[in-house]
Amino acid sequence: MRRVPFRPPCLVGLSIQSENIHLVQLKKLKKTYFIERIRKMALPKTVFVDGKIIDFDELEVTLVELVREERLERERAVTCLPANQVAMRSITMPSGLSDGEVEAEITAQVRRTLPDQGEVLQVDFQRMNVAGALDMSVFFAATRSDHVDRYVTCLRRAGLSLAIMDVDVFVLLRAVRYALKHTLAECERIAALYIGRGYAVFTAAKGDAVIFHQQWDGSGHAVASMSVLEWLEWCCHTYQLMDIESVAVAGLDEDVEQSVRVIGKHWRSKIYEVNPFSQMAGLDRFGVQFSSGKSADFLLACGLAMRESPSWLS
Amino acid sequence: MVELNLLNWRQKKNDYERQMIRRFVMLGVLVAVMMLGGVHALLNYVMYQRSQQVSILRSSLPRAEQHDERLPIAKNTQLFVSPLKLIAWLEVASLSSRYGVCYQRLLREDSQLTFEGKGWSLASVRAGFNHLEASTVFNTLKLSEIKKHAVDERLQFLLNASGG
Repeated sequence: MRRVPFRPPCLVGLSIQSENIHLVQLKKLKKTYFIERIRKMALPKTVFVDGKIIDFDELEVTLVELVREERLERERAVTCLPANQVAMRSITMPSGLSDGEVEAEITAQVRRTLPDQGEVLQVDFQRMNVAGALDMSVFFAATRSDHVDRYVTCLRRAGLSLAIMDVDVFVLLRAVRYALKHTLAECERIAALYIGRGYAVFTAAKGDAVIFHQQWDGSGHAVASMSVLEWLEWCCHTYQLMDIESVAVAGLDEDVEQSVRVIGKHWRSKIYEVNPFSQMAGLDRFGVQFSSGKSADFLLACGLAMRESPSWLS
Repeated sequence: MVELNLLNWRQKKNDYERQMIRRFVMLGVLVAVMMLGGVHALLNYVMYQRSQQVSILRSSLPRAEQHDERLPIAKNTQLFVSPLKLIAWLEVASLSSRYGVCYQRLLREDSQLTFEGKGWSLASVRAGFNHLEASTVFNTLKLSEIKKHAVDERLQFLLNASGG
C-alpha cells in the first residue's frame, strides 16, 4: 500500500489465537471505519499449548504465508498480549515526576513481586488525573521483555514491523465500545466477554477504570481444570455484586449462546451479542462469509486495528 | 480510554521529536537565507534599473544641449529681484505647458526681462500670455515679437517684462 506523506498509515491488526490468526486493517474516516482488509488463516495445532505460544517458528511460517498472500511486506502491525502475562495496576505518585522517574518507580515496584530480580521489563503507563492535584494516579502495565521480544522478532522475520503491543482486555473494551457506541452510555459499567478456541477473556470497566479482568487459557482439556462455561459461572458468581449494567458477548457461535444463558442466570444486566463490523463501512466487498453474525471472532482484531499509528513512528 | 504500548515507544518518540526539531531549524535557516538572497537580488535589480535610467538621461543630455532645448540660466546670474518672484514665476512656467506654450530662453538686461518661447498656435500664445499677466509676477508685460518658426511650424515669440 502506498503511503501518503504526513498521513499515518493504517495499522494491521493481528489477533493470534490458538487455531487462527485474524487479520483486520481499517481506515479511519470522519465518523466511521472503512474495512480495508479482513483475513482469517488457520494456525497449526502445535503453535499453542495451554493457551500459550510454544512454537514461534511455526507461527512465523504461517505469518510469512499470510504476509505474502496479502502483500503486507513492511506494513506496521499491532498485536496484543493476554492480560495474564502482564502486571497491571494503578498506583499513586507525586505529580510532576518525569516519564523516566515514573518508569523507574514502576519498575522498582514490579521487581519486588518477581522471583527473578534481574529480569528485564517492558513498562508502559498512563497518567490518569494530573490536573491541579499534588498526587497523581498512574495506571501501568509491565511484562517481561522476552514476552514482547519474541513477537517483535517473529513479526519482523515474517516481513512486518510491530508498532504497538497492546493488552487484550483493552483491545476488547475498545472494540465493544465502538460496536455499541449508539447503545452504551459514557460512564456505564460494561463487561465484555470474548470466547475463542481455547481462549476466553472477560473484563469489565467503567470509563477508564478496569473493574476486573479474567482469562481462560484453554486448559479445560485437563481433568482438574474448568471448562469455559464453568469458568464463566465462577466469574459471574464472583463479580455479581459489581452492578454491571451491560454485557457484550462475542466469539464462536456455539459458545456465545451458552454464555448468554449463563450470564443471564446470574446477572440482571442487558446482554448484547456484538458484531464488530456493524458500525463500519466496506464489509460488502468481502462476501457473505463475513456477513452479519458470522464475524464475531474478529472482535479482537478489530480492536487492534482501531489503534492509530503514532505520527512519530518513522 | 487506556491505550498502552508495551514496546519501547517513549525513546522512539524522543528521537523522532529531536529529529523533527533539527529539521525545522534547518528549514528555518534555509528559508531565512533564501529570503535574504531574494531581497538582495531585488535590490540589485532596482539599482540596475536606476543606473540604466541615469545612463539614458546622461546620454540624452548632449542631444538636448545640441538642440538648445534647455533654459540656459547661468548659476551666478540673478534673473529675479527676489526669490519669491522667482518661485511665483516657476509656478506659472510649470503650468504653461497646459496652454501649449513653452519657454526657451530667459534674458535680463537691467530691469528688463525677455522671454523667448514657442507656442502651438496664436490662441495658445494668447492663453499663455494671459496666464502670465494674471499671475502678477511682473508689473508690465508686452508681446514684442511673434513669428512662425522655420522648421517645426510653431509660433516663436518674444515677451518683454519689467518689475520681476
